[in-house]
Amino acid sequence: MNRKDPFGEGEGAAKARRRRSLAIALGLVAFIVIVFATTMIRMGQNTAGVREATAAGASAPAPARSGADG
Amino acid sequence: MADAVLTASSPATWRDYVALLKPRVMSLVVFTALTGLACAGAPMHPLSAAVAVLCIALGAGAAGALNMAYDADIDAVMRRTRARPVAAGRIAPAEAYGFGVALSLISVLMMSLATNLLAAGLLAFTIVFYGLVYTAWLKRSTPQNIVIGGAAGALPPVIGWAAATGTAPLEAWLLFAIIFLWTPPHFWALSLYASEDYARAKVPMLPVVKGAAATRLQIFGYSLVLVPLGVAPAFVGLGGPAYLAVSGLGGMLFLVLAWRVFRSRAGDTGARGEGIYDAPAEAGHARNLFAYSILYLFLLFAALLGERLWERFA
Repeated sequence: MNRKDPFGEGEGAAKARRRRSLAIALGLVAFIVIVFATTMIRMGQNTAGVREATAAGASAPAPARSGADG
Repeated sequence: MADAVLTASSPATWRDYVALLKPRVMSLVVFTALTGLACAGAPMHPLSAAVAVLCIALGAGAAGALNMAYDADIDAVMRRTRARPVAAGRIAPAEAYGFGVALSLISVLMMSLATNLLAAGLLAFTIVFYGLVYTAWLKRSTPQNIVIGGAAGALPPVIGWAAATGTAPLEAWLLFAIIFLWTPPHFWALSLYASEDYARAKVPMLPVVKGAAATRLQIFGYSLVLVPLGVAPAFVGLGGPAYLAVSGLGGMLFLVLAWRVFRSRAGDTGARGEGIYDAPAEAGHARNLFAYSILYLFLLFAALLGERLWERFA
């Protein structure tokens, strides 16, 4: 069996198939990198948001207790 | 069976798959989306902004692939489109459908992950509207096909705006309206000297159904509405003096060219050229308007984008 042309489809078609496969592989790698980077950014933004909210809560004056609370 | 044979020894190269994405249309979509994103003026992580624009590009490409898969029969008989990969038999329709659906899902999911659900929803709507409503229904059934279908091409700045802010305010819809009203004079100018192709492909474009004179009148009418609308961003705080100058002067030239088309005999004989810029002598004004309309839209959005970048970095 010819390794470069396993399906016996001709040299040109086999080369085109290899290049398409390479393009798909590169596309998948790019997809993984983008999803990873996007996830990191979103997690960073969410963490910063939680920190800000926590800091704002800590610095705000405590609500006055009413007499009805006992 | 023919598909199976084609798939087994597909001669398609990666360039054919790039062609499936309609890169020229995609470039205009990316540019208008980027302008919408910049005009929103909201702080955005540069990578998130880049991913948003990439998703819009992929979504536009996906819609293009679905369009080419469905319209292979039409494309094969029209000179302008017969070399497209599905029409020419280099890619099987099933492969193009698969490619288009996969890219649609990836682009919408990535958009929702990188930005927000409104932007992802608008992107999904745009793909479905172009791939199903326009391609599978409007294009073959009504001379208003490109008028209604033009909504898909007009949405990218709104998607860009939504990606940046999570909202779609009136200013974003003003950009939508400009592209929406730009589409009919742009495509009808081309169809005036390609009507024979459309007739052969049984696509009910306006010149085929209503005739060249009615099309020339519609082109001029739409231009009369488009040009003032093109200037409007300068009066709602979207555009500055540079935009006002570009849209004012550019709009006047647009009207002059549209008037010349109206007064011409473009499309009367049904003669056609080989390429999109190769018109018979009688349709020279229509060709000029078609070519200029692309420059006009580019200049409008370039002025808006340029002003925003100037504000940010100057």
